[in-house]
Amino acid sequence: MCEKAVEEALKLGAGEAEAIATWSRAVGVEVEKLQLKSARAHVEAGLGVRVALGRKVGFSFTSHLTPDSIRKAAERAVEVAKAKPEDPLWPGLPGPAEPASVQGLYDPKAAEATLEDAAELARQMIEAMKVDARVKAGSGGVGFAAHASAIANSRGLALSAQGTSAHASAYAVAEEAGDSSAGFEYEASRQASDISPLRVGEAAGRMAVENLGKKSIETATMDVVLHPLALASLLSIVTEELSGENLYKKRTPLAGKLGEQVASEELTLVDDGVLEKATRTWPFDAEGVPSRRTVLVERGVLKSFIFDRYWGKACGAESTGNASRGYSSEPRIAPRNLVVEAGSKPLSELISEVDEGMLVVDFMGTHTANIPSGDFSVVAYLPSYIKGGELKHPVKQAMISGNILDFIAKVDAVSREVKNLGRALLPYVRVRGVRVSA
Amino acid sequence: MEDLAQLAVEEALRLGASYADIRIELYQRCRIEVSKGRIERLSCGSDAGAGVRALVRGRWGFSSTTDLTREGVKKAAEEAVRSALAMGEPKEPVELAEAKPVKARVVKLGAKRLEDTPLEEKLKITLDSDKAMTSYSPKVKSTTVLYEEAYGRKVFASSEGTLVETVGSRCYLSHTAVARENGRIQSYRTRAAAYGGLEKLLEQKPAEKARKAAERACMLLEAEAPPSGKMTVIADPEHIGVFVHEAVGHACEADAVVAGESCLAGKIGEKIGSDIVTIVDDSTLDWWGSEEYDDEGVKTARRVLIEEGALKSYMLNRESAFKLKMGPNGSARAMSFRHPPIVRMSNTYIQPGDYRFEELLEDVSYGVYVKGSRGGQVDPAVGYFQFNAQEAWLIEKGELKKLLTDVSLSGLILETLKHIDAVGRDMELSVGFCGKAGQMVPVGDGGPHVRIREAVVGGRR
Repeated sequence: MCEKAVEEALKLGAGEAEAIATWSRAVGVEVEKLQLKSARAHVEAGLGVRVALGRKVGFSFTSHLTPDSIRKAAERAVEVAKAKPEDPLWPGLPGPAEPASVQGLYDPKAAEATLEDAAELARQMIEAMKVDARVKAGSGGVGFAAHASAIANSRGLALSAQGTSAHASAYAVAEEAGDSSAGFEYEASRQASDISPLRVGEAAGRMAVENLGKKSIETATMDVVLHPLALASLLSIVTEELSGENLYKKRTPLAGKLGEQVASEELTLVDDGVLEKATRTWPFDAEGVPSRRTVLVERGVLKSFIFDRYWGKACGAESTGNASRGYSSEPRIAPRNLVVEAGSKPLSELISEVDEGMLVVDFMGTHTANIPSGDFSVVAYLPSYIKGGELKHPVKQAMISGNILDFIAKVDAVSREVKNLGRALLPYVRVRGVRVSA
Repeated sequence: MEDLAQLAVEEALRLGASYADIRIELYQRCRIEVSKGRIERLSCGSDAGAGVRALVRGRWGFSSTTDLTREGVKKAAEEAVRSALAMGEPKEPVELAEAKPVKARVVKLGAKRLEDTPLEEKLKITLDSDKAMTSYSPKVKSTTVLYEEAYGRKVFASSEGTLVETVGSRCYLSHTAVARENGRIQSYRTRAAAYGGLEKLLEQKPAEKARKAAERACMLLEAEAPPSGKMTVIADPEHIGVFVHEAVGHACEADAVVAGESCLAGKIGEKIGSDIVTIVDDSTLDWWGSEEYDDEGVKTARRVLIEEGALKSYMLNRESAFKLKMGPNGSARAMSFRHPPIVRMSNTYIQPGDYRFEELLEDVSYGVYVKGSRGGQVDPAVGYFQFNAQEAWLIEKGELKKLLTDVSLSGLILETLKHIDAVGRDMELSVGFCGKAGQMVPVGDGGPHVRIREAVVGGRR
């Protein structure tokens, strides 16, 4: 189908042409108020065509996969290209290359999971959330999907692959004596057997109950231990700062700092497109460039930005296999699976070494960070107060403002425990001397 | 398309559904994004598929597909029935209020049809708006213009014999200007949009709107921080539109009422606002948020929500109408075939009264005039709201004195409705999108200038 679309586009006068086709089938069940809310099944397929007439680039797509619609998409892409000005940065399409060899992409159990399976697991998750009578509400979902993608271009590139995914998420609310608190848990993998809605429900319920009894704290400078989810939230700012597009447009404070110490020596951050069973693993990226493992920060030294082909060429670098898109849009840079190398200390030591501090499960508001400057102001989600090396009590409210580069420079310990978040493999980290406003 | 629709509905009934419907959509979509003279993104394509809903023994099931073959839609019908059955026995079975089956065809393409207008012309409109901002002042450091359009066909068919075909088009343009000077940064957004042809978008003079965004962003660089506390507020049509939509409209959505998530539940007939407050949601207007039939095939209507201060009605779909023993009024909308319809607004506004703007102002010894909106938040269960204005002016002794920035307005919906003491004679509607349960749909909102006594004004957090 992709080769056919490329052929059509070339016939219509395109100098270069590329087609990407994706297909997915998803079943999922939603939970609300500790009950099943809805069950849904979706089938989605489509094809996107990108063409270049010289340096004029056009894009079109269709979710209607008849030969006639595919020909029309090719026509439309050519028409769009003609309407656009020359793009001096256009790097041309990538040539063929051997796709990466990846493990654990496809699981027949996830591919064949039915609505009934998802509903049964969701019921188990609901029961597991009710760890005791204080759990009053709960929401979340369980879902399975099968995906396939194919890509072909006029330079002879032709690739395809299929994979699966499974996910479970639970958000529990507990109430006691006028206080209410929440707990959250999430698991995702390409393999059905890696996720356990039972485990997810129980963890969310337990966290909600443990977070009851919130007390206020005073504004102070203290040490903050980040849960892997909180680290993942902060890394969403870091990967924006590492985007090749922001590098080219000088919209990141990391511009010009390649080879320099930009973070604590404790931190090594890897973008891994080939991590076994992870949900952003695929043999190739959305332009057909082989997936790879890219060290971004090694012991605090900036090693690489992330690029698709366009912004890579613009910056004089190669694509790092970070082009991302569905069939209906042009490629954009996005991280693959993020891995922070584990440290040597157990989490218990990260906490016991803190005189005054906070353990934070997640952050809210990281999407409002100012990317060009790196400044951010976020709300700590489910924070717990640490005093004299011990977890004391949940905290009512706490905000952290600062600069992302200062923040990652102040990391002084990384746990040996790591949590698999489906698209990230992350430890707990401790950040010294953070201004916390309560 | 009608054959496919019939096939899916029959398949769902055969598999045990008591009611089933399908929406098949075939749309062409274009999206242009321009920033500081550069076309950052441009894509045009075809978006097509079907969504099937099945009611099986009192439970809803839903399934969507982009596979518009006979096998594809049959499979979708089967999955819709299976998803209903997977839910287990319902605590409270769903029943539908009666709706008269209809056969209708609606065409809403306007005079200057999107399909017949070359892409170059749409690019020029987008680039002209961008130029109007960048050329306004060197203080304008960044600009974004977004143009989006969709045109095509939608067929709705139900097992009760309703068949509605809509051939329509929509286009939308938004302009954002960011101005910077001496370390201060301000932004301003203006929008234009039309349900129908391109001529309706052009009537709204997009380049002038774009220039206004640049002008206001630059002006706001000189603005001062607002006072805070309880005071008299005059809201412009755009700001009052957001109040009416967010604070009153959402609380009048019958699905929230039935779920016990609305502060207006059980208050039909009760006096909840001052006598001069009449609030309407009107899908029969020739405006952005309108539709002729909703996504359950029910004819849409002009719904008077609040009449002279008394709560009159809600926005209802068939399910909530049955529960509340009211008649459905065509308020079920879905973002696309990928989503099931839920209760939504169309164009929501407060009806004009008889005050001129100067008359609203002259009685105010100290207060704030708020204009436009930068969003905010509402808790419809508690009835609390907080909105940020795009621009505001300090009022002293009946005169507009100085420009303020980062002003927010907050309060309780029910108190605020009673504190409206004067309603202007002007009227303006804005355009936007409303998000609910992950679905964005086009809506309009507005009204005249409105005066509110004892409103809580604060700085934006």
